[in-house]
Amino acid sequence: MENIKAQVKFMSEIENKEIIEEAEEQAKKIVSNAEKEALRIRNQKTLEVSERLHEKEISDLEGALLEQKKRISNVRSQLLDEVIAEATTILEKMGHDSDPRYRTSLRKLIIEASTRVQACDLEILTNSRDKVFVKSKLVELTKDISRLKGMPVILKISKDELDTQGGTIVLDKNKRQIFNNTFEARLVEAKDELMSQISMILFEGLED
Amino acid sequence: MIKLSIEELKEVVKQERICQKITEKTKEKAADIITKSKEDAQESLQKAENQEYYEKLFSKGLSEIEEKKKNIEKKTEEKIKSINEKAHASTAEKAVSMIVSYVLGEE
Repeated sequence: MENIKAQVKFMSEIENKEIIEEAEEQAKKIVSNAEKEALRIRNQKTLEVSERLHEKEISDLEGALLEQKKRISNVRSQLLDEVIAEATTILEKMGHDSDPRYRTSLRKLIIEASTRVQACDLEILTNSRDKVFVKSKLVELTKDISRLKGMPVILKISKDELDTQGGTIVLDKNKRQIFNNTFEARLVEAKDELMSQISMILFEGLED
Repeated sequence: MIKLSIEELKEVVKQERICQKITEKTKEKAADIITKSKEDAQESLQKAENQEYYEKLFSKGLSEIEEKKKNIEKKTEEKIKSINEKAHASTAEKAVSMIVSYVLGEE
């Protein structure tokens, strides 16, 4: 009799143990599935955030770098303008003071312009201030230009006057060929010709 | 075959009832285990879906981008300073002199 009771109890205990084990197994599966799903969601959402951030970073940093380039370029351009303005002031002063360096230069500029014009009958234009000086050197200039061109030239000073800080314009008799060797024209030329060299001098060794 | 007296049979039946009650309790316990696991699963999913967490993550990333932008700005200032320092030293004089010589036809 006691044996039967013990058997009933034993069977029941086995059944109960199985119920709990099965429940625990099921619970484990539920939690494990949920954790897998949670991990998938987390990964996906984190990836979305990281993609949004990446796009924002690219756009913001590109903008910032562009702004940097613009600002540096403006500073450089301003400095180049300052250098040109300073050079212009020096040249103006030279012309006004009839500096010997300027006088030598004016002769050179007249000779250069005259040799560039393919004619023998030439007219020289300058500002009113330089006219007197050129007149005093006309014979000498005619000789030099004739020698350089390899033919005799007739050099005249125009009645007209230029509104220029310095330099000259030389033209032929028919006014078909004109060579502008004024300071203003040469400054424009200098900007084109020397800009890269000047940039090198000013900004050499500095990163972009 | 085992022969039991009425009294003994009653005892066995009594024991079986006790066991049934225990099994019922065990089933309740098993149901609780499953309910608890479902709650844990739900909590885990809710945590993964938590928008606040991702907003914080995004915000942290934004701060890092801002920091990088500030660094670029700082570098820009340094570069501008260095350009100005160099240009305002003797190099500017050299550049001016080069232009003057060119315009005067000395080069």
